[in-house]
Amino acid sequence: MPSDATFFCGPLEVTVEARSAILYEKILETVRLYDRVWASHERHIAIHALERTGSGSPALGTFLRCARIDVDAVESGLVASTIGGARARLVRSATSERWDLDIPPVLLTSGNLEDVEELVTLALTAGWRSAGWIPVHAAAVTDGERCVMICAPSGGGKSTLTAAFVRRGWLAVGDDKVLLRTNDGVAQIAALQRTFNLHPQTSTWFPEVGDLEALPLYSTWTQKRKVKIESVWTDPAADLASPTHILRVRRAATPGPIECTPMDSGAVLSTLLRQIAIPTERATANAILGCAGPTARRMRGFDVDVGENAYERADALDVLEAALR
Amino acid sequence: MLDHVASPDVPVLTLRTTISAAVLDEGAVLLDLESKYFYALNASAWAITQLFESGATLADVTERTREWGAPDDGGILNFVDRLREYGLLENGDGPSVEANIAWSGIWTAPSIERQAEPLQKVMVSAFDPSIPLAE
Repeated sequence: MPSDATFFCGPLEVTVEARSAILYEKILETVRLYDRVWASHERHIAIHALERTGSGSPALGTFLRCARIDVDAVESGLVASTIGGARARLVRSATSERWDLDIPPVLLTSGNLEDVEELVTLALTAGWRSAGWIPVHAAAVTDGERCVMICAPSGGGKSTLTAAFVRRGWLAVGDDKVLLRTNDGVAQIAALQRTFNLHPQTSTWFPEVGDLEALPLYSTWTQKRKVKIESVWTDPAADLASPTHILRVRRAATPGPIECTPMDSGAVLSTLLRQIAIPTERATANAILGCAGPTARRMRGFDVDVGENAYERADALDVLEAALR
Repeated sequence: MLDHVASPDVPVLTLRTTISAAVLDEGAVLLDLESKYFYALNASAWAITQLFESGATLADVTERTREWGAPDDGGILNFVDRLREYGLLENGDGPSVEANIAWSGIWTAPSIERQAEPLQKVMVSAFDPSIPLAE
């Protein structure tokens, strides 16, 4: 079995090397999530993973603190540790990044590989930022003139609303994760994935997606399934768009239609910032804020409340689309 | 109101190094990387805040803003009080440094608005800033 390979994740060229087949496959599983091919690749990341117990103290989370991982900034780059005992070190150069992962054997033998997924995600997000892009946990759709960012916590309804837009003829830039940057003062959103992550119950409202139960899980953390966009809708995707609107989606606890309420500018900025993992390191935060701030200023925002059975109605998006004009 | 701030003997104040900033068309946004609160400032508020980046006394700030057209109505001191209340300023070690900040146009009262809820300190993952659910 080959233990090294090259992949392309947005603007990154990623090489993976691991002697353990289990480790190798788990890393690839995460890397392959970001399968939208870009025309050029601006930065190289090398991920080297070893099955061994790392040395040194755990990270303190001075750069980033997540549920399963803490990250510190050091002179050469970053160091990270997970609650499962995995360690990672980034050494950064002007044009490339090398990550060394130490994965304790007990994680491989027990099959608890969530920490590997976390570390690879960390490596990719750091690489995207180095390439000048900001990872945003949001969906986005475009009709060629308008580009609507769709925001909600995990499980909050982004993917379903994105599917509803696509069914209406909008193009999906992404249903969960996109990249943002400003280029000559113009904000751009770029696609990373060719798949939607849909919960099996979505087929209730969108029967065209078919039986989702048979498809692979998107991640260990969710019941959502990975669905190739092109397998459901014709020409459904766009690679790049300039954001004009932002939606903050909330599930209503009761049956009803989709309702939308305009947001003020402070709420627009707040909504956008809450979709970005901002490290606690001034230079990195300055770069993120320097992009997100002006981007938010140029967007109109709406709070969108989605009734429990809203998508059963054929005209579900009428009010929302009218508000976006 | 921090009444001791009105005295010109207050030492040099500096913007804390944990404050991230981005300039906007009509002002700026600040993010306190420790508390995770962020703030929207209008143009005059941002001009004043920049004076503290290298260190300034209240007398320095009062003099500079007067040159910029600020009225002597206590508005500047009130604004600096707000910066201190929000924990955005700290006492500096060195002397004050005259900042190369220019102002043009009509002076308006400085304003700062703090967002009601801070950003998350702990997130689901490096890509997902959502608040983690309890396991």
